[in-house]
Amino acid sequence: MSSPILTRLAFAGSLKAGATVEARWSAAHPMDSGFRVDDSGQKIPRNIIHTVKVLLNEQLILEADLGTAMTSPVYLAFPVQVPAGGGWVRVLWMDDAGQAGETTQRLVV
Amino acid sequence: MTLPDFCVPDDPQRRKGMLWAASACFMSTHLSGQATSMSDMSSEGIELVFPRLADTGNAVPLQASIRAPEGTYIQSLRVILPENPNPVALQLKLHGEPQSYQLNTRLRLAASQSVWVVAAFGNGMARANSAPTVITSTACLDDS
Repeated sequence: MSSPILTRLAFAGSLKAGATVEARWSAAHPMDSGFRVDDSGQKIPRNIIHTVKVLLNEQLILEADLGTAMTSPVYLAFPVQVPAGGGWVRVLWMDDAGQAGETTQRLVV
Repeated sequence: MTLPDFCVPDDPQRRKGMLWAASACFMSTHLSGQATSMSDMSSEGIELVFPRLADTGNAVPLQASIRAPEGTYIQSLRVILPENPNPVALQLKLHGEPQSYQLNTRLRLAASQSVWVVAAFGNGMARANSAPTVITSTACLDDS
C-alpha cells in the first residue's frame, strides 16, 4: 500500500519559552491488527505503525513502540517543553509494510 | 459467512495474558535485581483516567499522569491490556529525564478488562496502576 497517510500534529497550551505544551499527533493509518479477515475470509495481514520517534530541534525526546491495541486513526498526545526561541517538532513513524513518514510542526514562541 | 475466531490467536497462552504482561515487568525491573509483579507495585504517583463503561472497544481514551518519586525521573512507560491478544499496547522511552509526564491515547480493547500503566524510573524502581473498564462489544469483531 502506498497511498499517502494523512497525519496531523498540533499543540495545546501556552506557547511560551519554558512552558510545557501538549503535542497531539494523529495519523489516519488503517492499523490492521492482523486478526481480522476480509469478505472472502482471507486474513488481512498485520500492518500497524509500530515505531514512532519524536524529535525536538533534532534531539530525540520520545521513542514509542506501538502494539495492535492502538486505534485507527492512531492518536498519541505527549508533553513537549518549549525551548527558548521555539523550534521544530518532528514525528517520524514506520509501519509493517515498510512505509514511513514524518510530521513536522513549528513551535512559535 | 461463518464467523471465524480471528480474535483468538493460536497461542494457548492467551488466557495467561496477565502472567505474560507481568513477565514483561520482570524485565523492566530486572536491573534493580528484584522482580515484582504489577499488582505488588506501588501505584503512588500514577493517575489514570479511563471510562468505567465504554460502548465499544474500538477507541477507549486513556489519560495517564505520572509523577516520579523525589530525586529520580521517569525512564519508560508501558501500557498493558492483559486480555488483549497482544497485551503490550504501548511502550514509551522518555528522553530528557522528565519528573512528570502526561500521556493521552486511544486504545482498542478485545474484552472488558483493566488497563495497566507501568512506569520505570531512573533509580531502577517501578510503579504500576490499573483502571478497570467494561465494554459491551469487542474491537476484534468490528469493521472499524
